[in-house]
Amino acid sequence: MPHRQEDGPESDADIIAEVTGGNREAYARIVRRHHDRLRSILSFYCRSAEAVEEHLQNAFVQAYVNLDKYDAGAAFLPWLKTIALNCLRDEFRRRKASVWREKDYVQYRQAMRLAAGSEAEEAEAKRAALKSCLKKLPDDHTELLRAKYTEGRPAERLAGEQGLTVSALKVRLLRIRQALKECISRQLRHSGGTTA
Amino acid sequence: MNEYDVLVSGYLENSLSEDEKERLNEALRGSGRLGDDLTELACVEGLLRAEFAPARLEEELIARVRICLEGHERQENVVDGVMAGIAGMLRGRAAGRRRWKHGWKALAAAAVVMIAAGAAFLRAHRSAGAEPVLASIVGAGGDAVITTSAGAAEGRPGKDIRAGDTVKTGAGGVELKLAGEETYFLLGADTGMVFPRGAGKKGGRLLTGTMEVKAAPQPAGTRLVVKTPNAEVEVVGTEFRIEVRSGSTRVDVTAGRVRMSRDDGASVEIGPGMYATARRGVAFEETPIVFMEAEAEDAALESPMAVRSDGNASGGSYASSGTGDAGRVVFTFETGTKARCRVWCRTLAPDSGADSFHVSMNGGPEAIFDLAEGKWSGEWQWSLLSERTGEREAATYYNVLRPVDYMLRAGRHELVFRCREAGSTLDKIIITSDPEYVPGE
Repeated sequence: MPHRQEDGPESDADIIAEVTGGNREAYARIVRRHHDRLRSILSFYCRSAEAVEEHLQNAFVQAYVNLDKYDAGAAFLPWLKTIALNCLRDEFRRRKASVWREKDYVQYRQAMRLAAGSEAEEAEAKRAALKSCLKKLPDDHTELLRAKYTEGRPAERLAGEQGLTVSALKVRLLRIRQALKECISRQLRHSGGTTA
Repeated sequence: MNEYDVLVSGYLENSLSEDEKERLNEALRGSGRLGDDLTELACVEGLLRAEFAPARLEEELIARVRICLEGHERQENVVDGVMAGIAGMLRGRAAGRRRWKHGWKALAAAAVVMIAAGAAFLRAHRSAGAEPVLASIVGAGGDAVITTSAGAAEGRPGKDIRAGDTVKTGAGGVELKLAGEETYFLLGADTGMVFPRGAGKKGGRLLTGTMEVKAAPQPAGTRLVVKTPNAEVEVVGTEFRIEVRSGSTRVDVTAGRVRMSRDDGASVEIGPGMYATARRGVAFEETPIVFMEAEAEDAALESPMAVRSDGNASGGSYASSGTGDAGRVVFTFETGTKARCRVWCRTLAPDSGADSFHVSMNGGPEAIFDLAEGKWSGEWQWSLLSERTGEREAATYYNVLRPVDYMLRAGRHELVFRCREAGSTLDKIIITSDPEYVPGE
C-alpha cells in the first residue's frame, strides 16, 4: 500500500484547520495519510485483524471528537498514536488480567508490555526493520506473503498453487516468519535498538 | 513440523482449538524463552498483516469513520437543538421584538447556503454521470447520504445510485431498488454500503450496519453478491438479512437459500429460518434463528386451565382444562430478528373426544388445532401445530390439516392455546424457525 509523506505540500495543520473550519470531508485526507502507520502500531499489539480495524476506526473518531484539544503547532501523528494506544490500554484494562493470562498468554504479555509504558517507537522501529528485511526475501516468498495477506487467498488454494500440502505450506510460512523475526532482531541490534 | 511448531503456526493463524490453546498456554507459562519467542513472532505476524494490508481497507476505514462522525454530529445537533430551545425560552419576548430587525441577515445566510448547495449539486452531477446507475432510492426513512467521487448528496426517494457510490444512512433506514429487476435492499440505521465498480458486478460491500435483501431470482450466469469486511454472501433469489458489527458478519435467511463464504475460504449454505455468523473463534455453521422450548405448566394459565400431574409428561406436569371452550395457556416469548416459525406441541390424545385447541399468535385469528388427527394414542407424542383446510379425507373422513407458519418480526410475542374440547392436554412446546426440525422424544 503506498505511504504518503507527512511533509507533503499540504501540512496536517492545514487539513485540520479546514476540518475545524467546517469541512468534515477533509478529515478523510488525514485518515488516508496516517492509517498505514497507525495500523502497523496497532497490529503490533493486537492479535486479530478485525480488532486492529476496530481500534483504528475508534482512534480516528476519538481524534476528530477531540480536535479542539489538538495543538496545531505540534505534529498530528504522535498525538494520534497516543490516542490509539490509550484506547488500546483502556480495552486491555477492562479485561481481567488473570483470565487473559489463562486464555491467551501472548496477548497478556503484550497487554502488560503496553501497560508498563511501551510506546509506539518499538513498533515503528520493528516496522522499519521489517520493510528492510522484506527486501532480502526471495521473490517467491514475498509473492506468497502478498497472496496470503493482501489477496486473502485461503490456505488450500495457496498450497495447491505452490504444489505443497497445507501442512507443508504452514511450515513454509512459519519459517518465513521466523526468518523475518531473526532479521528484524539483527537489524535492531546493529542500529542499537532492542528486540523485546 | 513438531508439535510446538504446529501450535505456534495455529496460534499465528488463529486456528487453534480450545484444547490446543490450553496446551500452548501451558507450554508458554512454563518457559520464558518460548513466551518471548512467540510474542516476537506474533509481533511479526501483526506487522506483516499491516504491511500487506489490502488497499480496500483504506476506503472501508474512511467510510466507517465518516459514518461514525455523522452519528456523532447528529448527537451534537440534538444537544445543540435542545440548548438552543432552552436559550430561546429564556430570551423570551425580547427576542421577538428584535426578530424583524435582524431578518435580512438570515436571508443573506440562506442565499449563501443555497448557492453553495447548488454548486455542489452541479459538480456531483457533472462528474458522476459517467458511471452506470445500479440502483435507486425508493424509500427513505431518515437522513441518508450518497457520497460520490464528486461529493455528498442527500439520499432522497428517486435518487440514483451509481457504481462506486457509497450510501450511508442516519437515524432512519433507506430502501433501494436495483436497476432493471425486482430486487430490494433495505439498509438499517447507521449503515454504510459501497456499490461496486466494474462491468457485470452486482450487489455491494456492506461496511457496517444491517441490511435486509429481497432478491428476485437471478438469471443463470449472474452473480448477486454482498460482501462484508470478513465474508461474502451470494444470493440466488431469496430474502435475508445481514448484520456487520465489529469484525463479525451474521446472515439470517427468511426464504430461499444463500451461500456464505468466510475470508479464510470456508463456506456454508444457509437455508430458510437459519443463520450463520462469520467471526473468528465462532463455529461457522447454520443454526436456527429461533429455537426455544417451554413447558405448558410454566406458561400463564387462565382458569379453568390448570396444571395436572403425569409421570410421563415432560417435567412431570402438563396443562389441561376440564371445561370445553374455557381456559387458556398463554406463552410469551421474544425473538431477536424476523423469522418464519413453526410450533411443535407435545400432547396426549387417546381419542377424538379430547384432542383440540383454538390457537392464535399475537391476537391474530384463531386456528383449530387437532392434536393427533388420525394418529390418536395413549402415549404422549409430538405434533406440528396445524390448522384445518376445510376438507376431509375421502376414505377416513379425517380433517385434512396443513402446518401453520408464523412470520414473526423481532420483538415480543404471545402464543395462546384456548381449550376447545374438555380434557385436551398440552405438555410442552418447541418454537423453531428450522423447517426441517423434528423433535426426537
